[in-house]
Amino acid sequence: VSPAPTVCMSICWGGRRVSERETEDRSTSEEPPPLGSWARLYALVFANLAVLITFFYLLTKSFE
Amino acid sequence: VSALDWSVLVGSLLFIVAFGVWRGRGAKDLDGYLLAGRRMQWYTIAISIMATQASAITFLSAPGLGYADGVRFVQFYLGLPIAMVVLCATAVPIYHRLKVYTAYEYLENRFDLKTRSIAAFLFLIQRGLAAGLTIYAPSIILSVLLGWNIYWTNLIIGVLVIIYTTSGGAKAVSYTQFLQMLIIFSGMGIAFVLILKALPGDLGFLDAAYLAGKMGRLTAIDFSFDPNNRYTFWTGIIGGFFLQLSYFGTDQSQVGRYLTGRSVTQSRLGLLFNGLIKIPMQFSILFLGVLIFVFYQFVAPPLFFNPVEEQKLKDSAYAGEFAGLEQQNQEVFELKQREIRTLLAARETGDPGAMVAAEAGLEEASLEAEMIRSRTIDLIKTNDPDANASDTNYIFLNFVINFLPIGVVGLVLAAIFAASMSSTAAELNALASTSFVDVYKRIFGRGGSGEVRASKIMTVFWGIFAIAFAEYASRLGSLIEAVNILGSLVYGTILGIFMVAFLLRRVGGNAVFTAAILAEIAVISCFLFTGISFLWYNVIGCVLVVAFSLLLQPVLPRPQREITGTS
Repeated sequence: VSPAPTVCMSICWGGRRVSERETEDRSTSEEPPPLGSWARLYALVFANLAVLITFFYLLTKSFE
Repeated sequence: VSALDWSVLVGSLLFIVAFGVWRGRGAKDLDGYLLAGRRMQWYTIAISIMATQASAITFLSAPGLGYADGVRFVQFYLGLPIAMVVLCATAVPIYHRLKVYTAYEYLENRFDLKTRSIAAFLFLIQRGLAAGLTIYAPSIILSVLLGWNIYWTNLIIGVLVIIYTTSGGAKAVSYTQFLQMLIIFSGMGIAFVLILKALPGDLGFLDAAYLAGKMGRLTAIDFSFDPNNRYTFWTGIIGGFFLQLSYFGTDQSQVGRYLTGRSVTQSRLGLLFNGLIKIPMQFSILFLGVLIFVFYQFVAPPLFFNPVEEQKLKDSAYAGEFAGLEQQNQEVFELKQREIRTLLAARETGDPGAMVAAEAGLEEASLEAEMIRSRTIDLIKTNDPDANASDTNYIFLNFVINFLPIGVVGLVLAAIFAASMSSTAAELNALASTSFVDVYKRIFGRGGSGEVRASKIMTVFWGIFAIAFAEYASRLGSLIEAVNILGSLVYGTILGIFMVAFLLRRVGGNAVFTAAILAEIAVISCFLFTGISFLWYNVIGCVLVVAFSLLLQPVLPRPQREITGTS
């Protein structure tokens, strides 16, 4: 079972409060994510977004 | 359109339908029919998510936007990757754990029947009408540019989708979307290469980018904070985040796609892949439009890209005035070309003084060209006040028909049909799921062997509804715009309901239901009485539902049934 994301947010489920870690443990008795953990995959998505924003900024400035 | 183009188009469409019917066979129960047996791999989910979001109008409008306004529309998608991560961490595991068929089932589990009903009702109204427009929007463009009968075009798109969606359900939808995206990427990719080749031989890629930048088409990021400005970094990252969170988290046409995942991991990977790919994909389509803009700096563009409106003007009492504008346009085009050549030569020799002078000359000529175009649009409106004064959606296809070789035209047309069919199929599948699971089954409690047949009947019903609305849409005029805006008017409120459901344990059904009604009134008031850009409606609706829910909870306590969890 893969580790839970670093952001451990509380969610409601059928009127009962459960942590996301608990939710994950119940529902992901399955394949581990690539890169070893979801936190790393989420970081990859954020990093990709940061790279794209930087690229757009440089594109705007370069051809202004 | 040549015989070869027709062969490519008809062959592609028939193959899509046959492939969908073949791959979708064997759905024996509701799980198999509505959610493809929950056995899809991440890459099928990822493609399906992208194909559902990108309708035909995406591939027709985005290059037009790139031509007219540059690449700044890409900011609209900046919030999408963040929304994908938030959904992976919150909604996806919950939906999977509860084994729901629709997102709205969760709301009854968490709140009550009325909250589930209002969310399902808003979805059915909004998506039902939108499905008609998904068919109508490309049909009107194809009918204008190719002279096709719009009623037959609507009917053909709609019937083809109904055949394989009804036959194979979600499995047919997902597998055909894979094939459709292949056709779309092939068509757009080949168009991209051919546009580059169509540029003047002495103009390199960097020269084209330089020219586009100097003419204001490569401004991708705008950090100014203006709530009335539709596309800035802030509207994209904040408003876009809320919009995408709502669309992917609560709109059944998307939720239904990742619920087909074999596991939470597969669904999450499908969403995250979309978070990685969507922005570059959208940028490429916009850049295609920018290249067409550069192409038209060397080949005189028409004054107006919608040939029907242009012809109406030529046949009217304003024909002489229009001919005068065409003459002026040709003169300004020649002047612009001289300035462009001077600018490129000055750049080559590195002469800063000559570059500044040429830039100023080019700017002046471009302004003159814009003024001539504005006068043309004024003339079109004077001649016919009901005329469509925007030709953005016609730019790309106009270029394809006039400048791309035979065969490729057929492939691009097939890509547009495929895009329309992929979005419509997902919408019909989602509408059938919601009407069967959240309405029919909830009211009549029927189960067992008739479930698949009832779901198929729902699919056919929504397919006929979409075709009927598409056929009627041409008579709606400005109401079409209102239908397009409808999504933004309700998404924020629906998202707010789900946010409260996920994050605020103390809030019950009575409070959130009343909060949703109040928030919706506030959002509609913003639309009617303010100039706030529509992306902010998602933020306003969501925040107001959360705030009103917290305020109302003390005075509208949750029923005992909800507290004890005996629902």
